[in-house]
Amino acid sequence: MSLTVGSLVYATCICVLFYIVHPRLRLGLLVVSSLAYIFYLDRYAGVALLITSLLAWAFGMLTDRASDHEQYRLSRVLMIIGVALSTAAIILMKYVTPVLQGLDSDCVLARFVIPLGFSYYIFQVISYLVDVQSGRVHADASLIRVIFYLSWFPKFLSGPIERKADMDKRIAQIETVSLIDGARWVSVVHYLLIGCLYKIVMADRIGVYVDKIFELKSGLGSIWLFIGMILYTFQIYCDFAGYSYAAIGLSRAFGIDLSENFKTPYLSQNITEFWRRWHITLSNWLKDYIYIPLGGNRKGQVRKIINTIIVFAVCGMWHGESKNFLVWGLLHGLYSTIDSIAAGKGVKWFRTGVPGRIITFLCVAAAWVFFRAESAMSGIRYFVYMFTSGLRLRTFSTDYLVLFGERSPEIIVIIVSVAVLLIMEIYAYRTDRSVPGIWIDRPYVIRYGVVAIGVLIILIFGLYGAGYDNQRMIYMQF
Amino acid sequence: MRKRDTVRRIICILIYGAVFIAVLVFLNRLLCIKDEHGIRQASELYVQPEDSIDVAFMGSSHVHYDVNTAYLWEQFGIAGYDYSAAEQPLWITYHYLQELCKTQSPSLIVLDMFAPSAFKDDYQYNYLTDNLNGMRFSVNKLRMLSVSCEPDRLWEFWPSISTYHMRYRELTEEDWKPFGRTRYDRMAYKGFFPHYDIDPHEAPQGDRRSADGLTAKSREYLMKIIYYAKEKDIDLFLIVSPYNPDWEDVEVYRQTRDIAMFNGIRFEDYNDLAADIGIDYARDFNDDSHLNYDGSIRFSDYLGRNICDYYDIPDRRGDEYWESWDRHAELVREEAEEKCP
Repeated sequence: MSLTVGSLVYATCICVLFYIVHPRLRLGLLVVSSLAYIFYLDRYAGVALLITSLLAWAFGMLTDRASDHEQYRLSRVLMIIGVALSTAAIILMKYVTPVLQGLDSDCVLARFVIPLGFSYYIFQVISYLVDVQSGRVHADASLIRVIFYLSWFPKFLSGPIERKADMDKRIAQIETVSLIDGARWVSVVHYLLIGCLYKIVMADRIGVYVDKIFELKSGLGSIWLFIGMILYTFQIYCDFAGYSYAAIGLSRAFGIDLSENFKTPYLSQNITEFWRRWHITLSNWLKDYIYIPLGGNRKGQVRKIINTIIVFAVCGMWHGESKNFLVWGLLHGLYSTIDSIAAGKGVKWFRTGVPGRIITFLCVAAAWVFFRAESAMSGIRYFVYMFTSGLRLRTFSTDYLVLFGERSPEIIVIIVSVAVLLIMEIYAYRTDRSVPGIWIDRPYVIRYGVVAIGVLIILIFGLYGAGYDNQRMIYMQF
Repeated sequence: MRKRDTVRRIICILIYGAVFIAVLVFLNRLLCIKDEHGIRQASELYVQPEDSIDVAFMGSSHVHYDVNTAYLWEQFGIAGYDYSAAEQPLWITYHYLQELCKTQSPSLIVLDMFAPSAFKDDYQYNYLTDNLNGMRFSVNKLRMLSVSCEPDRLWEFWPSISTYHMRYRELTEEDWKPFGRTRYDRMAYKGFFPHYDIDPHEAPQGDRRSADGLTAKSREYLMKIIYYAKEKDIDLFLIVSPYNPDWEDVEVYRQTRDIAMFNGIRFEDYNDLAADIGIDYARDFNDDSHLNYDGSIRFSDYLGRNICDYYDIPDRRGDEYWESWDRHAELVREEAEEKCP
């Protein structure tokens, strides 16, 4: 779901209806409202979702039936066909179509554009089919429940990537969800609030200046380029974590708990820990459906390294056909390999404590430059400028004016908000909770104050209204 | 124990709620756009004494630049108010008229027809904020929003705070001034926004251009305004105030004249009467399209005489209930003495 006033109003209306209609009609209402939302965003995406849901349901049923009749080979073949179709669809739309568009735009295949949310729900389809075949979950005879699993609108655009077994448990509880549940509503409010603060106040604001720095990179000194790299590191986190918190909060309003996607990743002491805390549902998916089937760490150190590199290469390629994503993925593959070898040899100094945190943060930030750049070459050029243009202290203030303008308090807003974010993240890390989670069990006197202040901050410092596109989310394009 | 806790929670919510609302109201007043291209004209209407406005001048910026309400008061005793906004399309004027009639019972509406001749889009966003932000929230405002803005752009303009919350970056001393203004002070504002630059123009040579006529939407809302005025027993006077003729669209004015004649309404294109009015194209314009203070006096003198000749508008001078017009005239005079070149 995009974080716009329109989307939130829509969700609120659906929520009101959810508690008014007969409990047995709730699932139907959520499916219809999710489809209506998707068709409103893009009819093509709606049609693609329906076709995918139908195929996932059919392959799931056939695979399960074959397993029931002890035709394990057939069930495996059916699962492989389903997974292959899903993979082919994603490869076609992410890789073949852009190439064909460059060669022959009239070609039928060149007209396929990746529908909204496609790469997120196609991962869910793959996990569903694999889980059905392996017996971890039974195929769902209800097409409605399969559609719901793939289309649930708070998570549709950018995840979290859920598993069917987990969603089934939540679907089973839908009819018993009660409106009067204070603890749940406290959680809803805080997840939505933190989500909006991260996305609308921080990510969108930082993004304005990151865009300028990346655009003017050839004319800026090393300090500004370094600041640009760090700012983008915060922008992408606030953008995606903010969206994820809001999605979790909104979904919880309907009594449906989504998986946590972020757990203070930038405080990780090493890259292995980082990937346990960053985009958790994607990391788990890659681990369960690529890394482990490839052999994981069970076939020796060399295979483990190769598998790690493959997983991160796939992770990079999943983001898009441009080589900069592959470079980003391979960089993380390299980091993970070094970390894994260091861990094996008992090296601790750069894997733990403050040095570990700083090194991990800088490595992750450096990789994000490739993620943000228009191409791999553009990312390399960014680093070339960063290391060769010098400090340019004489033009530092002029560059500041170019980037932030005269008398602009925006830099103060950014510094203060990043400082507050870091304090919250450190506290959340130490208490092993999510950032919204640290507020939920506070005394109500504190909570109400936090909500009031948070809403005021969003109203005044949020980037919304004419001239701002709040529908834009970095991870929506993947 | 549980009951006591619930009471404490409620008290806590009430205190936080009150503080939240107080801070929000303060920030709203501080950050809101305070220009005189429509917002102040609309917001100060609400502090005018009830049923005090006899003549409301409506339309685009031509109205609050050209129609000098201070002069009309001093010379003719007309209790007038410029209830206009920049580039105001007729569908917004229609809802402004309904808003006006909530607290006022004007005898005459003078409607300038420049905007429908110059701007032909069915949704006009250039000055939409100036047209919307001064009006209080109401069903009427929601209706106005629904005809002024495409649904997918609604949230860019409503709630109003979405158009000005970022102004914390550009606050000036002017933004603090409204806090020192009392309701009594605000009452002296009558919408007129005098300008003092001189932008010389060639006198029009009679080469007035003709383009498309009234758009379907403009025609529809002109008819709605006519019917609404009839329903409320308000006289309607359609005008075109003098401006640089580059923008003219004689076809719109021809159609307006036909509609006016058919409905028994007076229509006057004051461009045709510029010589009678005494408009000096070398001295009386502030910019391409608007009269300056001197021009507004010349035009308002002619317009005031026309109003007195054709309509039965009482002279309110000397009546205590209309004293705010005296203060208004004095403020305008003081400003003009200070700023006139």
